[in-house]
Amino acid sequence: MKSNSKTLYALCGIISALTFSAGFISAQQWLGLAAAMVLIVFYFLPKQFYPDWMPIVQLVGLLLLSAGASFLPVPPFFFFAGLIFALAGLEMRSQGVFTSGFSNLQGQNAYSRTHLVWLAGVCLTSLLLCGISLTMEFKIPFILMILLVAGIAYLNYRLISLLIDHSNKKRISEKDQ
Amino acid sequence: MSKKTYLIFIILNALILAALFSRNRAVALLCIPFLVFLGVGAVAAPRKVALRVNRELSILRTAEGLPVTVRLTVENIGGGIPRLQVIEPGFQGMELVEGDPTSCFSISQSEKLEISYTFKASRGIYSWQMLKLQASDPFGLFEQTCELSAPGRVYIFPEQVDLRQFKFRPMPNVRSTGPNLSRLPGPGIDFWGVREYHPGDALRTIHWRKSAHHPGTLITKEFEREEIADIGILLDARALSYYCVDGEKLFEHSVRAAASLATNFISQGNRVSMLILNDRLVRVFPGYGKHQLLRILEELSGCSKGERVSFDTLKYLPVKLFPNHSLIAIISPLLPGDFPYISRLKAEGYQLLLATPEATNPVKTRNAYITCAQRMAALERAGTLKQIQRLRVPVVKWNVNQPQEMSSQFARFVKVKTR
Repeated sequence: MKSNSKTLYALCGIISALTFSAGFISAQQWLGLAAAMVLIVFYFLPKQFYPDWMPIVQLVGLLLLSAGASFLPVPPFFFFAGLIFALAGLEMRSQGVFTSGFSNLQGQNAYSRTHLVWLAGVCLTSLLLCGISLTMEFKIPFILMILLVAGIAYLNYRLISLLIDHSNKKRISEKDQ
Repeated sequence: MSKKTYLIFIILNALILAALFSRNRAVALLCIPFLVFLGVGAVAAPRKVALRVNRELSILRTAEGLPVTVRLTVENIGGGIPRLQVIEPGFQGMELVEGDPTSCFSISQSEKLEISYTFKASRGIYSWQMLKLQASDPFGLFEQTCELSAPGRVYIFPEQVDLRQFKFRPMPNVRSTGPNLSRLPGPGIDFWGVREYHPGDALRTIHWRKSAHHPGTLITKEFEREEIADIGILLDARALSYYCVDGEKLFEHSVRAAASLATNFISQGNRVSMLILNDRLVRVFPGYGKHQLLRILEELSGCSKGERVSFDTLKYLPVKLFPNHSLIAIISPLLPGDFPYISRLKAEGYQLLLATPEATNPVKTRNAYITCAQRMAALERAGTLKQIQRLRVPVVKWNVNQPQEMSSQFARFVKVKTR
């Protein structure tokens, strides 16, 4: 299972690199291409040269690149696909593709399989939804837009209160200790 | 919710705001992968977690550096859990040798999982009460944490050195058959003397050659009685005694010496007790045999240095805990003011043995004051040891920075005494 995961991880990185390259080359954005390649090359760094903050850097970098590339006069699907595969790779790495924790234990193998299946499902669904959304032209009514913004504001409010609660609890437990 | 979920929410917010400000549809569509990710996590997250756990240890008492295997059994009595992570606390001094207790597992309904890992550890008592488990969706977005009772305890005994060559014979004070020569006639194997035959003496004890020299009388051989000695081990765990370079090493060596001496004395058949002087007085009452040795080693496993002021000097040492005329084996690096209390013990009729570890590698420095202070401290210590030796207290000292020094010094001690 470990070797399968590694192969799939490498495949995700390669597909991501290819799709980003296709997008940036067709738009002749060499700087964007270089940045994407650098970020994807970090994928293949072994564990000892891959610090804990690297996934965040990769995620933010790729997200900024994809968002920026959406303004380019080329189909944004390339960048979407690149981002989806890159995210899949990051998720696989976070679940221990390169750690020695993977073993022949039944439970661990089952988890590895389950995780891969769900991840593949997420990737395919995201690709399909993105593809369909890009091909379809739809207009959001103004009232729906207001509702959407209100919903986002409420979610943010909930999220911030949750974060504050969490940090308060943490502080109290630290004091108790 | 995990940190990952918060991060995704932040990214979604940022993307939506960017899309609204830039009025770009493609930027808004970038939210899709994250939304799908969150949605799948929410759908696949376990609703109710019902687990049963058990912890088994391969061994309950072992020596320092030997592997201990912990076997955790997790039984799922609820619905299937796509991702289950065991959160096992690591202890200081514990080194993982095999397995990973924090790996993720998938467990289906009424399935039983066995997770095992092996660790090596330094001296101590390693105890677990609860087992923390984290059940979540396959991506670890929506977590549920539960703590279940899974007690376990392992004693890691201090490393012991072989003191078989250390043949120290204390004066016995317990009138019971044992291994120590008592300088009194009685049952034994070492020849003591001869006396006139008394009715009731065994015929095999008659000294026939001597009897031939004295016609009409029979002479009987007498043997030296062998008896048990009462031995008290006094381990100095005052933090003040170890405020020096290599203090931690000195303390570990003291503990090792206490364990080795206890093993040696108990294996000879003596009655051994122990007193550890740290934050509280740790006392092991006198006893014999394997169980007594286990009691002593268990106390030594968990002992640490103490900083309580009332035990900073040996003045208040409750020496009456040791039986009269027993041997007290003091294991201490010694403080300059300890000599009067040691002489008091001697005056009260106790037999004494002093085992003292020392770190003789001075700190290399060009500072003249430090060099001078080191020399003065060394001289002061040498003086104290000399004074103690003048009281006819046998002293065994060894350098903790040299391997095998402890056992060789104890062996050499015998050679010096038997010369």
